Amino acid sequence: MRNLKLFLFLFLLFLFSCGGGGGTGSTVTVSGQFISSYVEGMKVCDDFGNCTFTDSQGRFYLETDHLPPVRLNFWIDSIKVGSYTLQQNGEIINPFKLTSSSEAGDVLAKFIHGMAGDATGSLQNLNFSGIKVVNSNLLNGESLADAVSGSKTVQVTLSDSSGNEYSVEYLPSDGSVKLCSDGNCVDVNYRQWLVLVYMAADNSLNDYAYQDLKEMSSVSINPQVKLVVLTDFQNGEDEISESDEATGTLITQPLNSEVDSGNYKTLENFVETYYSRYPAKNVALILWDHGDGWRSMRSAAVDDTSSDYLLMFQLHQALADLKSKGISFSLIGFDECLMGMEEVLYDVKDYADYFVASEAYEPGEGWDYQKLLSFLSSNPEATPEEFGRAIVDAYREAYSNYTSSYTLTLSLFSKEDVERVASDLNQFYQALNPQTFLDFQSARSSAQQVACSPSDASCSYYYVDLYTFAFPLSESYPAAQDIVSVMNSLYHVVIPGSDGRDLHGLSIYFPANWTEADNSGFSCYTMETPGTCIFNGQEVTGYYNPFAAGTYWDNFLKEYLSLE
Amino acid sequence: MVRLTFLLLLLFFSSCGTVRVNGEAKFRLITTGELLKNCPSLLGKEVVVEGTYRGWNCPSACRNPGVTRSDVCLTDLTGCIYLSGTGGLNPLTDRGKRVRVEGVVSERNGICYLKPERVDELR
Repeated sequence: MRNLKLFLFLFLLFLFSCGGGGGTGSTVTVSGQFISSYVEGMKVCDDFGNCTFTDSQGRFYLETDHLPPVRLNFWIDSIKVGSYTLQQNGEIINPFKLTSSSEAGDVLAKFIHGMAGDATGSLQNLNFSGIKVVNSNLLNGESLADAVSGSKTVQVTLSDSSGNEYSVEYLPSDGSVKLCSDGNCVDVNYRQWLVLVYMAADNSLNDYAYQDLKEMSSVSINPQVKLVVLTDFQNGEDEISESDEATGTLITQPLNSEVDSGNYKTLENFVETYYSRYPAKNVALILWDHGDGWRSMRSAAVDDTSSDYLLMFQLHQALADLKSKGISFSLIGFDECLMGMEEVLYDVKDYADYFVASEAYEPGEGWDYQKLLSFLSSNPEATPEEFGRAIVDAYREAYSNYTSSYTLTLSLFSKEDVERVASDLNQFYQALNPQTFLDFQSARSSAQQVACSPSDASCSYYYVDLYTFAFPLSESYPAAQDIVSVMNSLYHVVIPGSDGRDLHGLSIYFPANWTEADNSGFSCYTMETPGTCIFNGQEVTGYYNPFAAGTYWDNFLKEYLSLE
Repeated sequence: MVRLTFLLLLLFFSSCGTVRVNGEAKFRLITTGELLKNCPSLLGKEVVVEGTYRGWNCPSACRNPGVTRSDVCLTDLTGCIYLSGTGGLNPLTDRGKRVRVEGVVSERNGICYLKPERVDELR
């Protein structure tokens, strides 16, 4: 008997010590949120048979013995929607995370909306609680996400809580998702664009923020386009504005706190919050503020209340952080002066497919949001390139009859354009030597200065138009020929001003001598690893120049200046 | 009579408040308050204003003509006026410097501003 008790004790000890294959050994709650719109009544299970359902906000709390990362499977009745490995509690999951491409994510989102009977793709809440799957052509164990990612035709028949039957079909041949009932089929839509505008107006541009918000408000925004604007005002309460899918109007809510738009974490939080909340096939990020080109002590955003600046290396860091969380963009735009620089575009090139920026100064009114949002609302299926072209076109229309002392430009760049120019600049470094120096010196002296006029004795920009620098070299240097070719193929607008500047859409930092270099923070420009940069008495820690780290243009400049 | 004529002439010349630039009496020294008050009559004229360079950190009451998104402002004891462009200084790091601006009085959207021709730091 005593031996029996000992045996039982040891047996129980053995069982408990097994540990369940990496589990915690005790019950934990894994939480998250499924958003296409808010998806209610979706079954969420781990791989061990533990299941729960999403609530009216799409949230779920799963009792399991496995902490994240944990693979979760999502079901609508008997249809497996897809699987996703949850990385941390509270994470937002959307159709794009369940699929292999944004196109497949878009189809899956449409299919989910179709299964809820929402052909517009704009219902705020999709409730699957009373919906039953009658039949489908999915194979046993095959998920919707797998099927659409593999471009397979999918057909699912469902019945609603009243017993009415309807079906949803995905046809890879034309990419459409159709919702059919009583023999009638309609296309199912879903949000095509999320446009995030980071309006850092806590400075002298305050009044122009109101003006641009007014332009945005004047457009009835298509439900397939979601516009979200974070506005940091100089005076007045900071606010968040969102387009409403039902009415197309811009709804504004005060934030009840002072936003520090110069802090890159603010940008990160803004993007992460709304990117997760409003998944879309395409995402545009528009940075709205002052801008003056490459990084040093210059900024993409400036916040006067907090005296904080969003320096370019910090913007680069924010975008890198977001990318590590799976967030990247179809298009990044700079509604700012002087950001059409190879350095700026290089810093952001890995985080979007297309970029829109101005090489020159922009008028205070900046981009015409009424025009560009009208375009997108009329053409929600626009590709990132088409939207970029529309931004340029809207700028052309807005300022074609504009008389100014400043020449205006706005250009659309692809990631490939930026990389090609960087590669060409590297070749200049290879080509520069005492024998070729005079060629480069001559080209530099004839290149168009972008921001300074001859009377600006203390102007410290030293940006030159890249085309006007490369063109005189193009007969002798293939890299220069290639830059000319890239610039000639850019989609851009140039509106001449009385300053007579010959601008072609892209600039590069190029001090002509050591005096100009010293006046313009050259020592900061050449910093390839994080350190302390002191420029005009201000100290920035952790500063570095990603462009200098990634190219040889800083080496070219050092060599050039030493030969000067 | 000669004394009176001399006095009047002296008064006339001294009231002009001009600044000699390159040996020529060309620019009129003026405060921002006077400039804003008399903008219509000064349009197209060249003036000199001395004040604090504020970069992009401008009082909210200061009206921005928005010639460019890089326009900066200048303040003195009588008010604030914008300059088109950056005035050749750094809007962030040159804030707070005392400067003398020579420029042409201009107007955009009904807002008076200065088109700077020369900006010098005052010691």
